[in-house]
Amino acid sequence: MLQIEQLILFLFYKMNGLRKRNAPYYILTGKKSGQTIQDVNFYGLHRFFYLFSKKELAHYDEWIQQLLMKGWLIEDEEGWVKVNVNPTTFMSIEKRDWNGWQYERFEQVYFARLSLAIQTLSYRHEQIKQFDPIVPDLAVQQFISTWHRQHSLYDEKIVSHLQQELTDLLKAEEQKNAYFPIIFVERLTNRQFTGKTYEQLAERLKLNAFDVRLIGVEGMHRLLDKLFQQPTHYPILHSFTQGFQKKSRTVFLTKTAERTYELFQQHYTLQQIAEKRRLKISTIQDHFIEIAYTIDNFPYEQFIDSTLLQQVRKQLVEQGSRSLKQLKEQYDMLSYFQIRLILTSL
Amino acid sequence: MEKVLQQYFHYSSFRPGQKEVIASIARGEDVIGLFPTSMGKSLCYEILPYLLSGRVLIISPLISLMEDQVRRIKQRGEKRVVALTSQLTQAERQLVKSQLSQYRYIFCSPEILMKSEFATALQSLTYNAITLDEAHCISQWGYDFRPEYLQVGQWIQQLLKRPPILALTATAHHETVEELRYWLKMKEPKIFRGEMNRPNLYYDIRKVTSPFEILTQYVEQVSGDGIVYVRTRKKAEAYAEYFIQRGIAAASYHGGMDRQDRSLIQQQFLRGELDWIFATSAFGMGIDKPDIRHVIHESIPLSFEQYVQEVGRAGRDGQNARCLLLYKEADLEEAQLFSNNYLLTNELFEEYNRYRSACKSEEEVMKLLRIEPSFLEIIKFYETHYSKEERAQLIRKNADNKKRQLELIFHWLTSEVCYRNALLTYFHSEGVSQERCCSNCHEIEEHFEDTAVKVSNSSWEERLQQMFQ
Repeated sequence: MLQIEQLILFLFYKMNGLRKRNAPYYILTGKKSGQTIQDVNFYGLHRFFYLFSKKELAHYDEWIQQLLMKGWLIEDEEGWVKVNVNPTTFMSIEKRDWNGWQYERFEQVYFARLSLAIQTLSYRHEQIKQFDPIVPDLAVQQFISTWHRQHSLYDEKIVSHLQQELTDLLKAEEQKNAYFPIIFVERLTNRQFTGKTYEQLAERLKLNAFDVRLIGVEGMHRLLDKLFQQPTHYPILHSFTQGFQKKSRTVFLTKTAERTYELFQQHYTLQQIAEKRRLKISTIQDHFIEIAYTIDNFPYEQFIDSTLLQQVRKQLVEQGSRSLKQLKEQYDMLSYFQIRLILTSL
Repeated sequence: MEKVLQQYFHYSSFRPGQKEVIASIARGEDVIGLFPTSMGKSLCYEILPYLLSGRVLIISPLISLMEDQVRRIKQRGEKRVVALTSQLTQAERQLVKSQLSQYRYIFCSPEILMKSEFATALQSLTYNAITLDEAHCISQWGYDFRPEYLQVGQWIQQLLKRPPILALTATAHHETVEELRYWLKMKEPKIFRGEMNRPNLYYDIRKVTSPFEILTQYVEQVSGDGIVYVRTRKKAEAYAEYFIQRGIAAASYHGGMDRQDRSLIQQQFLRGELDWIFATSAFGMGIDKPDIRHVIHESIPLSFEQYVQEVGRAGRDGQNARCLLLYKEADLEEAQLFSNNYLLTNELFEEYNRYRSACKSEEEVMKLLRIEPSFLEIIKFYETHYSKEERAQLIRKNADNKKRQLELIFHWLTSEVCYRNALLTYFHSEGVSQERCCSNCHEIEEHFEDTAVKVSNSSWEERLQQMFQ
């Protein structure tokens, strides 16, 4: 069984046949909708949240088709999907080390920074000032440019320390997964060698391309865990994590929602938070919706009159689901935001 | 001017057409530049900030094209360049916005220009020229019709200071020239043309029963690096897979790949770590390797403009190169069917309107009709600009036009006249006579030098060590 198949089956399994075929897709691509955040929190699927971009999961529908065809998944007429194969075939996913919600694809940025750093330092012997950066991302280029000005990637001492740190770290990782150091190193580019794509690595390692990607991401998360646990052990590698905020373990929110929540706890109003963070009011409202779904004891009374809230809630429970538009027509005195908040409390 | 050319670009002289275009723009005139291959056309706008100071705005239809041009400009040492695309991350967007006025070259698509968060800023800047790249996209008769291009002319009029407009295009048709003049509101544009003939290319056009067989034989036998253009992503991947199994350093290259992977593949190809790329036409453009010895078309191109641009990748270094085109009898029909996917029909409009009145979002409509966003723009354009009767007429004209283009191609393929001269005639250029020409003139055998790159099979520790050397 492919690892991605195991992963999808595992997610469906955890959701107990109560979700439809796209639910794992939304979790894996980090959709920040109320439903998905709820699923992640309720079923404890934080480690799988936002592991991939939509482009990376372009073949998702095909994978689902395959699983249905093989009879490992069953989809009923209403679209609910149930797992139909022995859980032991995919339970190994439980022990894997991905941590999507913690890193939210920061490992991509980190690896890009490291790649560019290594590419840069490989030109230190020659007088070449310009080269074609292997990383097209401007922010990463800016980061390395600044880093280089401050620490100098041309300094032999720094280079040899970086090499040592990386070798030590990868050697340790080799114990966990022998493929990871190979994948890591082969994806690097320097003056002489160009990095390989996952497809090319798959060819060489005789693995499925997506499995290679899964191993790669997992290894990066473990690597980052180590760097945050022992920053003094790997000072240079650690310095490339600058700008990344690790989340506190107590609240499972997306990074940006957590920042809003921090400010909220410091008694800033919605308006003030929007101004302070220079974001749109609607964006901050989205954060509040996420917060309301996630934490216990959300202070609804700060946003809606309590009696009104109870009244509307009762009515909503009785009349069943309505579209947001219909609800707005029905409860004209409430704003869209207030209606969405009330929905989170149901 | 030659001094500036030497200083910034390290060329000692201009190519035909370039100097005239540049001089004209510098005088403040509007210009239409006809350059069928991209050799030399970008210099026309790249040199302007050094001659006139100030900045240039370049409007382009393809993200990959813009990104590659930015890369190229950065490589010659110019850092003040940016491509405003939907691919920019949040962090990049902030960065760019804060320093927008510092760039010498700003690339963007019409949508970004007029509807994005950059729109206000872009409108307030002054430019010493506005370049419309791939200007043939303004033509509703072409395959690359982008309705957004039509609004660019109006946008330019709104600017406080209306700079000269440079429209760069491969096609030479009077219709397109007229469309450009009208929609861009150009003032008596001067028309200049660039180098049409590529003397070091040999056009090898073959009618075959099995393109797959001939292609596989060819790729396995010849030496030298090459690009193979295929119709679909699936085919590109399948071919790459096939040759990899046979030990050939190949890879596919298409729109489904992410930025980083495209960057890696391009770099590998440039360095000779990959020998063959299987690409869909939309993504062949960015590859800028000087020593591509072969460009193969595994299916017939949909227009001469497209063909010339694609074979134009070969032999940039001036050395001999081959352009192989394989077609079979049924190709005309197959191409017709393929192009029908991009054809407007009355049924399509009816379906579109039905979905829209059922309040479906644009995303849903695209999914239901199975079309790309650019095609949706075309439908919207026709919806808003023409009445039902006018549309029916245009639809017919469009269909006839596309059919005619394909027939022209097929006629060219099957004729016994010199292929090179037929192409030159199509582009209103003078014929030439040269020794090494095309498969209608004479057959030739030739061999190329192979630039083999050793593949290391070292352990990861060894490889890591090599990385730090």
